Amino acid sequence: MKPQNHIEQFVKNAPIRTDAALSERVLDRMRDAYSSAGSAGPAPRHPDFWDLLFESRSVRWVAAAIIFLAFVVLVGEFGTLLTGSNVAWADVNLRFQSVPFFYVSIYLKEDTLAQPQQFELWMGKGGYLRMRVGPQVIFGRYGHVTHAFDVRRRSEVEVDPVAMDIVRMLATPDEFSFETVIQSISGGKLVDITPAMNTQAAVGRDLVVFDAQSAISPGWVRIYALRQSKLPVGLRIWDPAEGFVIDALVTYAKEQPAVFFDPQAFATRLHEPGSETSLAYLFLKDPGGQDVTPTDLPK
Amino acid sequence: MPGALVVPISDKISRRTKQTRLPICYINVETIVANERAFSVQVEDRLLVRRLNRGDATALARVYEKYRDDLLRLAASLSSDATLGEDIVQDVFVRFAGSARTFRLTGSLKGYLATCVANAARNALKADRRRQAGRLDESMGLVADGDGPERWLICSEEFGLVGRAMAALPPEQREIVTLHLYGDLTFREIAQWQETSIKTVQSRYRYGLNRLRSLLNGEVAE
Repeated sequence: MKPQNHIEQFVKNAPIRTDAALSERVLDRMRDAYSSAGSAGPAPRHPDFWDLLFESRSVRWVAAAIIFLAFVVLVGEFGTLLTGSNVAWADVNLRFQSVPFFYVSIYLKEDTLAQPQQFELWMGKGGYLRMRVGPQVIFGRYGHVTHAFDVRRRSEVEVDPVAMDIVRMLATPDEFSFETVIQSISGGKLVDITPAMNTQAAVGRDLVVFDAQSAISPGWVRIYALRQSKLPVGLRIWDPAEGFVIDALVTYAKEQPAVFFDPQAFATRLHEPGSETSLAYLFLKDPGGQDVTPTDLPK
Repeated sequence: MPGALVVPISDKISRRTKQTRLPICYINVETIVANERAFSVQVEDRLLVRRLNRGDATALARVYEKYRDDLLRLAASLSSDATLGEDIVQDVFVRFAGSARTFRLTGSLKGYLATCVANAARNALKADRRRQAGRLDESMGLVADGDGPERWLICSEEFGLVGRAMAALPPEQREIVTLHLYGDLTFREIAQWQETSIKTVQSRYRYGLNRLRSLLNGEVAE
């Protein structure tokens, strides 16, 4: 352990105790304050998905993470709407756990004339994730950023705060248990959302489209999915009042090689000559065998 | 990463969940363990706040038990006064309980409470300049079972030493060291709170630790 860690641990772990009777007295005061606040009137309704998404511009970055939660809702609904049978929530989770890897490209536009901001996210088994936001390539696990690199500056950097928040909200344990994400973010509220099938918007038999409408704003969400596999492939969130839009494209493929999620391996290649594109998508393999970066092109 | 404990992550996780197939990937285990802990803390906090929003008063006890000691350490160190620290923490907890039904958690609960404590300590110190570092350090570490009036916070000898050393730090360094170590705030969060740059916070943190090390010379095992 480094000397700095010694002093940190000494300070952090310096023991204290508290008097039990006085501790209980403080807790009683807290209970009184809590009860008094409750007796003043009914507890306000906890904000749900739509509140979170549309009530304030300041929380809109959350939308990017909520896209994934909407997918969960979608799969749950598909189970019922497409097959007519009841699908237990555990089945829904199992469905997602069978996905070894997915990639999402998210475009977020604050208003009609704003330049879209793109987020790219790859998630693999074991809670590994990799994200690209602007020049940053971010590695994380279990919803926590472990490393962030800037492909322009070719150095490790402080992570983009919006990306960090998104990663945090996408925290999942070993499997893609979205139930845990839902619990951690909304206490299960999101499962109450019931998108309705919109047959007018579907352009082909293979594609099903679901719409859900905000109860508190003109905003709506549209989810595109494949009829046979029931996998969601696209999502649009649209707020007609302010022109706020999110478009997301989801693809499922074979898992990327382990090195793709390895920040140490990425760091060792940081200073090698090559384009920013090559670095941003370093170790990424196209499942169909196509070239991804200039490095893949024939010499 | 020289000196860091590095093992295949697949070995570590496979002990926990045998069915999980993992890619072979080498990462810093200390980081992963810290992240796992932080993850579970974060999830539990969201559920606790959710329960409080719904009127479940039993969640109060868990929040209190979970963060009481670190907030007391923080408040006592920031104010260099154990008694004032007790008052600050009690006030922060009671205010939190009063607003818990409508409280919305947007980050870390501990970070939120720690920031409340830090704001209250700053206000208290502004209101009473006499409590500034150095003069009132006698109140740190001198509280023991059965001594004097009833005390909520009972300091150990080690915490007394730490408290006296903290009191010798300039206030801005003390804030950074205590908020980082006791409040688990990141340097970015502290920089926002102090309205300064991250680099300044990081360098003040280093200076603060170096000063503590020299003040506590001989107490910290190398």
